[in-house]
Amino acid sequence: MKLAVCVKEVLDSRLPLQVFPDSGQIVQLGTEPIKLINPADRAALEIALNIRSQQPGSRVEVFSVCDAVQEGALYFALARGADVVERLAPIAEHIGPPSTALLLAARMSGAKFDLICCGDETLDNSSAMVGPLIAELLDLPQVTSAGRLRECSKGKLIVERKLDRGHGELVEVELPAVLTFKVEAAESQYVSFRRLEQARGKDIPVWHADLDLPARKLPQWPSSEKKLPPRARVKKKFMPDASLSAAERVKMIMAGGMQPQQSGQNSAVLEGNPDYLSEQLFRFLKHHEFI
Amino acid sequence: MEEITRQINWNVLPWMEVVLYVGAFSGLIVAAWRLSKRYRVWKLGRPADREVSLGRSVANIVGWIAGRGKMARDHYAASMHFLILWGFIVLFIGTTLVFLEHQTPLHFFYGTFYLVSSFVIDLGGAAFLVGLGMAVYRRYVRKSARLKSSPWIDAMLALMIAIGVTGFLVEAWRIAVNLPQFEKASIIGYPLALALRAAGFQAQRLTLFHRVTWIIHAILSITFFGFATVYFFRHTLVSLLSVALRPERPAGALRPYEISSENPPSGTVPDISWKDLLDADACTTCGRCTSVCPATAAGKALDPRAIVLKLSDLVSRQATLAGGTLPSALDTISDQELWDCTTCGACVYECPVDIEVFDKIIDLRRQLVDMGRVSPAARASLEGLQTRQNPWDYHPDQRLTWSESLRLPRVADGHKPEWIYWIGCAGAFEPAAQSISRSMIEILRQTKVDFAVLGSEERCTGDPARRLGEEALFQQFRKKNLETLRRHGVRKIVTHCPHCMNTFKNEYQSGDCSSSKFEVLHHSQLLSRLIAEGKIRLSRSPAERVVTFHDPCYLGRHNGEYDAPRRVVDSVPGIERVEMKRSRGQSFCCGGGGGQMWLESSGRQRVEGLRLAEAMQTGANLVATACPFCKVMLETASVTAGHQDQVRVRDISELVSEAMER
Repeated sequence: MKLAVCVKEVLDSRLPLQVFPDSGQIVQLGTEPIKLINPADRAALEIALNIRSQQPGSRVEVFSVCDAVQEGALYFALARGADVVERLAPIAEHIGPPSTALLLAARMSGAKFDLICCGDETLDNSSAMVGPLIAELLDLPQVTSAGRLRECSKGKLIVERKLDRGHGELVEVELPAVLTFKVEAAESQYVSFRRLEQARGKDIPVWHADLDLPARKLPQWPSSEKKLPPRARVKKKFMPDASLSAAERVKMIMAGGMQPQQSGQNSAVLEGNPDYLSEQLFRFLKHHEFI
Repeated sequence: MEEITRQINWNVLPWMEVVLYVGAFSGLIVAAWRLSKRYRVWKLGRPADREVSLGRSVANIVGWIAGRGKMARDHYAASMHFLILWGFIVLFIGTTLVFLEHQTPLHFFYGTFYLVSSFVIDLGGAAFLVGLGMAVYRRYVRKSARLKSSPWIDAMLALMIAIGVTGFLVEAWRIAVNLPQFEKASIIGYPLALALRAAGFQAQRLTLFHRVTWIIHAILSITFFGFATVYFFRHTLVSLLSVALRPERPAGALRPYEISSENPPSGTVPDISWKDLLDADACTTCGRCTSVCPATAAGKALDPRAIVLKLSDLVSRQATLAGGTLPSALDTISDQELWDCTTCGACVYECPVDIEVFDKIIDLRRQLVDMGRVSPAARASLEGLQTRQNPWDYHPDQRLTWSESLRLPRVADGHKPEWIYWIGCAGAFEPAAQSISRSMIEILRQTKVDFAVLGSEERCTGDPARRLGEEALFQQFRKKNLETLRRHGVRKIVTHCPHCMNTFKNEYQSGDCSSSKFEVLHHSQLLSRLIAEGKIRLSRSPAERVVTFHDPCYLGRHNGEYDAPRRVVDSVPGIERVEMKRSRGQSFCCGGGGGQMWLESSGRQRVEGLRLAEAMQTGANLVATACPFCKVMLETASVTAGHQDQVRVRDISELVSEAMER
């Protein structure tokens, strides 16, 4: 099988970030920005590598639309074991998911990939658009936000998809196709520092788009339409009465209200062993469709 | 007066002599051939970190024999081994003398020499048999738990006993024929001969019995030599090498390991250092490593002796390889076994033949890491180390968040202090360890020590990275940290973390980095110095009365510092210090070293729980320690077991800062 993976280097979002709403630019505060491969893209890469290890003769090619300073994700993919990595040089005046997808699609059209794997969304922009756009541009079937891969055989594959409220579905798709994967789709493997350093010593080939982008057709990014942030609303915080004992306060919090003794329609105080309690809690949540 | 000598090979027919010489020669050839097969496999191993000089090797062996090495700590085993070994050597020399007398023009086997040698050889034989008796008692009667049973051992023990007994019988039959007076020098043979005579054996029969016993003795001895390099009996020769080639680096320093890009390792013989393959063959299977291993005690997968024996098995599999893929140590050693090690070093401290046990585990971890075979927890902390420079995975800018109100003097402020106080990742990010840092700051300020901290320029020393098998990442840390230290002209470092101290002292200033020179003190050493100089006066007693001190592995066993922290504890007024059953060199790990701090616990029990129970057995209500990891682990254990009201875990600096006169 011939597999393509689309990756992006992102800023570590677990650290303080500042977003400039006008430009859509995201800046990391602190001394030295810490960058990572986008976690969902990493899962997509793992899926592709897993398929390669199960199907001898497969090949994994990794692409990223980025400037030369943002090649981290490509180095990571190379260190992790991708056969080929390639940087697609962005076109200066077109940034954002639509042009990214356009470049990727232009590069991949005619390359006869059986499967194109993407992360479902990035940590920074979270547009979740690139994968679906590639599929549309290449006229391929797509599965978005896929979970674990159940089966992969010649010509088709079956993936899990999570739906709301505890439901899930299995989706069968004929290849070639575009799939976007969620972070939890695959367990990531550690990549040793030695392998990363070794990869960083290599040159990454660059592909320049030879196409006349139909600029009018591309939606603006970020959207030029300005929206106001949601209005700040006064929230009433529930504070249990400090004069009560700790156990009673915990009961009140768990019952979700001020007056547990007047057990309302949806709140109840339960007592019993943990098995019983967890069973009841589960039923409660299921009944009210929380899960 | 009859001549004091004897006819060599008296009563021995020519064909018997032929059997002896041909047999003995082929026995030795078989033994040498077996050993040479192992030797060829050792040579396939990758280079070891350092060659040991000949003088040093001889000194190692002499020192080992003179002090009986670490073996002497187990008195019974040491005496048993001493008797068997030296008994055997005496008998072997005696046999060689007989051969020289008989086959060469040299003649010395008469007169006083004859009497003395008869006496000494009999004594040797007696020692040999007594030692074997002790072995039988220990193995089959007392059933020492740590011994490994094997049909090979049973057979070889029986064989050696038979050789000893038939040897004496051959002597006794010969003496019994004439009962010459001077043979009284044979203190065992002569009485035995008398006994045989008393039992009514006639001279005619004696010669026949002598012949039969002689040939049996000869065949048994030949068999013994033929099998002398089988199973753990090869230790008789290989252990000498493992002792002689003991590395010179400090106990706390791991050896470097450059993984080549062309041939990523996979646990095969060429990926394992030749010294480790040799070590594996030097193992006597005594099981002392396993008996002190905290992971084994807690019921985890790791058994250090099994690791060594599985490597020895790898040598066997390689030696008998008939083509195909190379056998790998990872076929038989599971990943979990390797991840269970706390690198406490108890195994190395105990091993009587100086096998570097946990270095082998770390080397295999390095290979697993290179393959990406790490558990999710290890991956999280290793990725934290890679991207955020600390295993707790916090942002490097948050290093001084805990101390914002303290306004610590920073090196970056242009201040050139005498001391750098290295806070370390635990001291910066782990709440239970932050209180150690706070106490240290208070003490340093109170005693007017000129110090500063590096703040966000600090990064992990690389101890967890190296011990989790990330050698390249460790070297990166070392490079960056040495650059920082050089940039600020740092000459003296004090740290409360024994792991940081060990890395600075033993791994930053040796090998490729031997040019970097700075003094590193553990806070226990600085505190005991300040107390001795009278700069700290302790007047207030803690609420607890009975204190026991838990030796951190990286302070004690790896760096030999047992007394400084005890002096600090003893200077706190109003408390009594008691020792745990296992302390100082024999201390039992807290379970937090070697990266365990960030890994999941496997097995039946937790190491820290075992140690806390041991501490509580002393009746102490305060456990003092001198390592942030030990503090976190033992404190967690006390909470898990619900003992937090009975016992408190404190770092020595916390004790000092509370008791200090202000």
